[in-house]
Formats: sequence, structure tokens, C-alpha cells
Amino acid sequence: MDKKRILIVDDEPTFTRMMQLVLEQSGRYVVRQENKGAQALAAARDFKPDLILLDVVMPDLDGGDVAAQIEADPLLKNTPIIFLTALVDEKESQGNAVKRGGYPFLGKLVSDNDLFKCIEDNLRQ
Amino acid sequence: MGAEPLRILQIEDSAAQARLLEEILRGAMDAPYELKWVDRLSAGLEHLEQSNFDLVLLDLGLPDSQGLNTFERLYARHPLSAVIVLSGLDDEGIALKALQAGAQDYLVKGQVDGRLLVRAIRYAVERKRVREMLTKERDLLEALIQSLPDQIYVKDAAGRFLRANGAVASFFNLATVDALYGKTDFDFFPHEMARPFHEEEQRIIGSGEPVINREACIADQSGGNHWMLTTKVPFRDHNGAIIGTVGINRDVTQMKMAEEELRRANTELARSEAELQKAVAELQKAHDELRAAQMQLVEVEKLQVVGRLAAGVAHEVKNPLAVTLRGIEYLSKSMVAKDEVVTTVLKDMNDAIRRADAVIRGMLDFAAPRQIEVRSEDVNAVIERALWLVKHDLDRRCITVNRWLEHDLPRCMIDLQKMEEVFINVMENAVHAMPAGGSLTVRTYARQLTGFGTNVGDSKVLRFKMGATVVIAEIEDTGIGIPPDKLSKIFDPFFTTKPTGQGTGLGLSVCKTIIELHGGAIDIRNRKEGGAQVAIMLKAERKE
Ligand SMILES: Nc1ncnc2c1ncn2[C@@H]1O[C@H](COP(=O)(O)OP(=O)(O)OP(=O)(O)O)[C@@H](O)[C@H]1O
Ligand SMILES: [Mg+2]
Repeated sequence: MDKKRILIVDDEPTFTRMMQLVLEQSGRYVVRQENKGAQALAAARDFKPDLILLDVVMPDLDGGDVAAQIEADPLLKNTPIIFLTALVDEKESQGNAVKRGGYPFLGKLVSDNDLFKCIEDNLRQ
Repeated sequence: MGAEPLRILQIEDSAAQARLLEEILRGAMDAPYELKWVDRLSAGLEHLEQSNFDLVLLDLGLPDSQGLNTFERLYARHPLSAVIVLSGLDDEGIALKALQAGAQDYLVKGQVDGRLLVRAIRYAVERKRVREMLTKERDLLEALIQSLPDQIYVKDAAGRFLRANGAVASFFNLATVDALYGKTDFDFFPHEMARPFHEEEQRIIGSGEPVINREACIADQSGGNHWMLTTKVPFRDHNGAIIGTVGINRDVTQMKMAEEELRRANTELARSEAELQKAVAELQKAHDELRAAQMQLVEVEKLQVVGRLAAGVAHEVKNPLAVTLRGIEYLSKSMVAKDEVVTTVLKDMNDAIRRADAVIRGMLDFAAPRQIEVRSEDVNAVIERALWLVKHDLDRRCITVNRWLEHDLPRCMIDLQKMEEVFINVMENAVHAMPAGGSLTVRTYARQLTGFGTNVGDSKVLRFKMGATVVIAEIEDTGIGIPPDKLSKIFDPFFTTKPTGQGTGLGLSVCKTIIELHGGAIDIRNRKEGGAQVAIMLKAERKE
């Protein structure tokens, strides 16, 4: 089975690096990091991910705007997006991403089990 | 009479007659006496004017006065004098009339002998003395009765006035008491008013039972109302037979009015005192509300600042935490051989991150500008659910639960989730306070606020209106209680006495915020029997 492609967009390089390590460690995914919101669309066009993990708060262009760009792109518009945020309350989400504005939201401190589960769920759709 | 000589005035125009009488007297009188003789009525009257005489011997036919008229003139001027009329045989009829008009006796001239004269004199003087005494007595009594402000009256068996004093006359607007005599109440009062009085008197006459101090409101002739205190007793003749009634009315209108005035003044006083108290209470309330509002403003301001700060900090801290967490996950999965020590270290690091995360979450929880979504809920049900959620903890510590949940508890407008959070927090605190087990008592009841000073809450309690129905939930434990010096701090954010990692100290401050968002109050105190009691007061939903 082909590995799924995941694009992770976050302004914090150490975080994207750790995510890449963890995700690829599972052997199921190929991950690409992008640390600039403004570059996210270009990276997606180039990488053609099966799923995008997107930070909400970024200095140049925030997650909401990036999501709008992706949606507006005819080739990318069906790519599932999961928001990763420091602000969502994990207790609230209990591992199941909170839906806000139609998108699933995950806390950044989500456990790996919940993280993988959420990714798999969204890949299936 | 003693040694005083009897003073006799003889009014006689005939000197011969006068001398004859003098002769008779001298021969017959055994007591000392003085005799003064004048020959005219005018002279006699003059003498009577000037000095006292015990007896007047009066001839009716005088140069300056004739017949009965002579007596009448004298008697009119000196009604108290004892008068013996001396008459000629021819005017015996007149003499008789004089007797009827008040003369003590009459003697026919020429038939007077010593013994007869002396006896007549003695009787006349004696009668005069008795009459004087009686008159004095009567005058005294009369003066007494007349001078009393009370109405005093005697009525015959038919209710006719026989005697009365001036107070009665003036009550009926009459110039003299004479105008009363022979009249009854029916002559002065309207029939329907006079009748009960009359019937009352008839009862007294029939039974001999007096009426004592009956109070009644009676209208006088000019329509003014009087409060009368009436006592009526039977009036008996000398054989003891009841022949009428004697009554006394006392006008107690002034007293009544004074009483009434006093009572009014008292209630007025009581009312104004109550009003004053109310005003003071209202002032106090306004003041407290103002303060509360002020505090709330400060609080809101603080919350906004803290909220922004917390969000910023959370964001900045969570990212590195996330990095670390993912790193730990990566490391633990990439371990080739299971190394016990490394596994433990990684697990401890994971726990540390979780703890840091909990602090941040608590802080966000506390600081986040909150909104509550209220619906009509049954507080008992909320408590049951919270109990169910902490059941695991309760069972583990062998804590028994006592439920005293009032049936038909009024529903409250509350945010189910938030309020559940409150109860869980409070119950978890109780569990933590009973590490060796104990009992948790949960009690709910409704109450109508009767005033200030309930044991629930601080100044915020003033959000509750007097008379409002509140639902009170009490959660009691038999745990270690709260050190008195810590009591004032436990609602402060981050105040905890629990070891690091076990409590963030945000539980109660979040509870308080939530409760206050509901317009309720929360209070915690130590129980006399040991352990702590948390009381939560919520406004009951108003039944329309
Ligand atoms: N039922 C209780 N009996 C004894 N002490 C209590 C009780 N409830 C609260 N306390 C005291 O009040 C402190 C503050 O309580 P609070 O719920 O705010 O924080 P916490 O329980 O320490 O931490 P957290 O609830 O955030 O996990 C507690 O640490 C404890 O000392
Ligand atoms: Mg607590």
C-alpha cells in the first residue's frame, strides 16, 4: 500500500520536524514540512498531499487564510485539513477533533494515538 | 344648744300683746333666752339681716304687711328661720296656709298659755335645727354631685329622671336640670338609641344586677360622639324595694382619644422605624451593589487582561511542550531494546508535560471570557450525574455517599456542563480531603429568602432578592477540613495545599466564576463535627 502524503504547516520548525519524525516513524506516511504560511499553497501544489496538518496561529499568514487558499484551488480543494492548535482544550476534544467552521481541530498536545486516529479518519473520507 | 341663750325675735305691732307674751315666756321658759321685740315687718327683717335668731314669733297683721303675705315675705328672705305664726281667731285659715308654706307652728292669740308656747318654741327650734342640718347635708351632697364632671342621675322605674346633676343637663344642652325631671331618654335620644338604655334599666330593676363600666359611643344633641363609661345600679327605697336606677356616666372620650392617639403614635413610630430600617437596608444594599458592580468591573478588566495574557502564554508554552511531547513519543518508539530506566525517564517526562498542560488549561479555563448557556435543569439530576462521574474515586477510597435530595426541588436556569464541572470539582476536593475514607453528604433544598444574613455567600448574596426562592446544595465531607487561616484564600486562583502535580489550585476559583455567572453564590466552611461543607446557592427558576 502506498504511503499517504501529509503536509504539515507550522511556523515552529522544531515542531514540524518532530511531527515528521513521529509520523514517518509509523512507516505509513511521507511528510513534508512547511514553516511559512504564505508558502503553504505553493508547497501543497508541489507536494500534492493526501492530508494537511495546519497550524492556526502563524505570523505571516494564519491557518484560516491558508485553508481558504487551499479550498479555492481546484486541484487541492478536496484535500482534508486538520487544524493543530495550542489553544483548543484537549479536555473538550477528548481526542476527537472539535469541529469549527467545518474543520476538525486538534490540540497540539494530543496523544499520538488520538493523533493517528484522527489522521486516519480524515484520510478515509 | 348648751348655755347659749335662745334668741327670739317677736314681730308684733301691739305693745300690749308683746308685753303679754313676754310675761308668759318669763313664767314658762326654763332655759335662758333673749327676747327682742319689734313692731314692724321691715324692722324685723332688718334685725334678721344683722344677727341670728333662733326663732321668730310673727304676727301676720302688721302696719307694713298684712296676712299670709307677711309670712311669705319673711320666709322668702330667711327661709331657714323657725317661724311661729301668731294669728287672731279670725284668720286661722291664713295661719294654716302659712304652716303649709313653711311656718313651724301657729298659735291663736289669746289662747296662748305658757306650757303650750314653750312646747311650740322647743319643737320649732328643734325642727329648725334638724332642717338646717338636713339642708346642709343636702347642700353638701348637691354641691358634690353638681361639682362632679361625671353625669349622675336617678330615674324612677319608668325611666323618668328624678334627679340629675348639671353634667347631665349640659349633655342634653339644657339650661337647668329641672328641665330634665319627668323626662326619659326617649325625649332626648332617637328611639333606636334610647331603647337599649331603657331595656338595660328594666333589666337592672328586674334582676337587681348592676351594670358596671359599660363602654359605649353615644351621640350628643349636636351630633358629637362621646365615649361613655356607664355604671348603673338599682335605686331602692327604705324597704329595699327597687324603685328605679341610679346611674353614673363618665365621658372617657378624651381618654379614648388619647389612647387612640397613643396607639396611632405608636404604630406611626413603629412604621417610621421600620421605614427607617428599610431605608437603611436599601442604602446598604445599594452601596453593596455598587461595590459589587465596581468589583465586577475591576474583575472583568482583570479577567480580560489575564485572558489575553493566558492565551498568549498558553500559545507560547504549548508549542514547546508539543515539540517535547512528540520528541518523547518518537524516542520511546525508536528505542531498539527496552531499557527500563529510559522507559521510566520518558514516562516521567511525558507526565511532566501533561502536568504543565493541565496548568495551562486550568489557567485558560479560569481566564477565558466565559459565557454560559442556561436551560431549565433539575439540580438533583446534575448532582446525580456528578456523583456518577466521581464514583470511581469514591469507591476507591471507600467513601459512602448520603443523599438528602429534596423532592420537587424547583428547577434552576443553569448551564448543565458548567454546573456539572462545579459539582465534580467540589466533590473531588472532598474526596481528596478524605484519603482514609469517610462519608460524603449531598443535600439539596429550596428556601425562600427572608432577609439578609444568610449563611451562604458573601456580599454577592445581595444578588438575591428578599422573598426570592433559592435552591441550596450542600456538599459535606468528613475530611481534614480547612485550616482557618487558609479559608479566605481557597477561592484564589492557584491556591492549593496539594502536593505538586495533584492540584492546580484553580478548581474553586473556576467554580466561583461559574456560580457567579449564574448569579449564584458559593461558600465553604468548616463543620463543627469536622470536615468541610460547601454550600451553593442558586436562584430558582421563576414559575410564571
Ligand atoms: N472539602 C475540602 N476539605 C479540605 N480542604 C479543601 C476542601 N476543598 C478545598 N480545600 C482546600 O482548598 C484548596 C483549593 O481547592 P481548589 O479546588 O481550588 O484547588 P485544588 O483542589 O487544590 O486543585 P484543582 O481543583 O485545581 O485540582 C485545596 O488545595 C484544599 O486545600
Ligand atoms: Mg479541586
